[in-house]
Amino acid sequence: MGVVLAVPLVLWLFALVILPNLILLVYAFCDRDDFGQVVPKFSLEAFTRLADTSYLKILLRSLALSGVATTICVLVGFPVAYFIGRTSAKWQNKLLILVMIPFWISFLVRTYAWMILLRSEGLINALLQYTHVIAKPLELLYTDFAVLIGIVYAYLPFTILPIYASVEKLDPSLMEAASNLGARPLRTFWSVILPLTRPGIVAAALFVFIPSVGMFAIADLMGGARNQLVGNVIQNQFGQGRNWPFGAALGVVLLTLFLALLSWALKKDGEEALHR
Amino acid sequence: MSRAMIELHNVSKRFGAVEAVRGVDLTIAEGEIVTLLGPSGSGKTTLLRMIAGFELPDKGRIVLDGKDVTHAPPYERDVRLVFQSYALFPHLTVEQNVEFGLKMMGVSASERRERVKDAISLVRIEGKEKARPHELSGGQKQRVALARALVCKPKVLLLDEPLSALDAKLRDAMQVELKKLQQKVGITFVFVTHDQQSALVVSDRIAVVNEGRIEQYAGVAEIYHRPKTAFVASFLGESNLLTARVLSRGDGKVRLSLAAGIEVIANDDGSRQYGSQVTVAIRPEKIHVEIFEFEMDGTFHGQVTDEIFRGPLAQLSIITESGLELTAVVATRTADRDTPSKGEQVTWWVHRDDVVIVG
Repeated sequence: MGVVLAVPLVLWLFALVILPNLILLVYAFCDRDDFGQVVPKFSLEAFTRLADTSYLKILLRSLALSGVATTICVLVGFPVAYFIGRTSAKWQNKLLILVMIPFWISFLVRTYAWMILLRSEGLINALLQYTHVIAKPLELLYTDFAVLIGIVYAYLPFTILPIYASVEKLDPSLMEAASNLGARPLRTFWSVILPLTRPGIVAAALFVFIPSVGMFAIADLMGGARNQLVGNVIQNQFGQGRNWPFGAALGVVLLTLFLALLSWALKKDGEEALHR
Repeated sequence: MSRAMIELHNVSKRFGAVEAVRGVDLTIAEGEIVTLLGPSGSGKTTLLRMIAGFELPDKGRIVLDGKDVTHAPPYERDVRLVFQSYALFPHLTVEQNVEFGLKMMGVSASERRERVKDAISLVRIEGKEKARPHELSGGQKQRVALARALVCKPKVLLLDEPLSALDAKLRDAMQVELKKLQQKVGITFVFVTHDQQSALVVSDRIAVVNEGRIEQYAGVAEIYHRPKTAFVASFLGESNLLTARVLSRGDGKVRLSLAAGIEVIANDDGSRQYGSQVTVAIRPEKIHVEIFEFEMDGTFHGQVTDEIFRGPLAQLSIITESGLELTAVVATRTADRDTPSKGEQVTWWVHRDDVVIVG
């Protein structure tokens, strides 16, 4: 019976997770003809192109930008999630709905809204000039800073939710116990709250880091042509670049990176999560 | 009495519309075991949480070993609490849990090792040092919680319903063990419980808490034998609570009529004012019951309407001709006599020391 019930899930995973990734893997090792058409012939050309340091630079820049965005998301998300998790049940639901409201609006619309806010004649610059904080408009849009804002804004709800889930499970008497045993609030945070909410924090960090490394829409719209990320490069290979094997190879590299990261995170936290 | 360890002066606490604690005065001496006994919602837990510093009183003062701690945060009070849920840190081993408080106090690593070892052997959980809380049984968690608190050598150990999660056998054993442990470490213990049996076994003194007030605060024997209010008489053990009419007073005695033809004498300590109507409490085991009928001054007749066998004791329901209903507890059959059984006529009497005017 159990086996039968697992069939839909296995089929689903096979069709939508395993199969696409296998196709990606096969493409990465294929050759191209002169017009960029993929030909089913074994080739390592795509991977040799990876050795080009300009791609490595873009990859590292993407990882760094996502790393910074992830850090900001966790630093901003944790206090919010903690606050929501500790208020009364009545308020928790209302606040969680507020966190999720942005999901009701198209992602593109929200990103364009940020562009309007950030551009030279946008709201922020206008306000700063009006109050004479600055004389000339700041260059906000089409910078790494703009991309960072875009990523943080898009992924913050994904950080709040898993952290909230682990804060909400936290037994308040544990904090009282720490305080009773002589721990000042900061000490209680480091020794009790942080270790016990770590699974939520790790999940939150992965939810931001992994999708944002491969993300291209925000970089496209808010980063401009100069601020390419690895996601844009990959997208380009399947589009104008007409180099599917290279795009696939980049995808395989990212995927391997994420799997390594994920298995490390799961190994560390999975063991503890089992004991709760 | 030795010096005061905890003093509550006119302490009050309100949660919204609920007055949890109303003007409580309480002094607990150094090295004593005191139980705050009361039903749930009586305010006993709020009192405990105020001593620990988790709640601040709206009014009044809390003095700990001569120092006013009314507004001190929990981490600055030299009291340790054994939580009802134990509240062991799930991410730490038994050893690390016990060590936690010492680390916070800044005790050196070598001394910590020593004291953790001592505390673990004091509560007899050797061999579990590396275990995580989830691997322990309820009784073991309780011991770890005790060790974690005691290892800090606090001035006061607070215990919030520490026995409620244990099964009856284990609870009985732990009661005795806690009492012995307290005598060994000499720390002032404050117990909070709704279990009057544990309270009697464990405590030196009991404060009976009801509706945010302390109804009576006295030694265990006194509070059992001389309850001051009807609530104390019925909450702590069983009592026959009877309405009586005062016939006369004088010579330190009160003559009371319980029902037509049933007149008993009670002691009058002169401390109370009462009108012609009073409530008296008589413990069931203080009612002497004899199976044969005889007449003497102060004896009455009655009929057994029900008998509940409880092993060493039997509980009898007795009704007199004038309709007075009483519950008596007698020893069950011994070599020379039988327990009165249902339907039988009995003779009963009660000593004047055992008729307690409670209101």
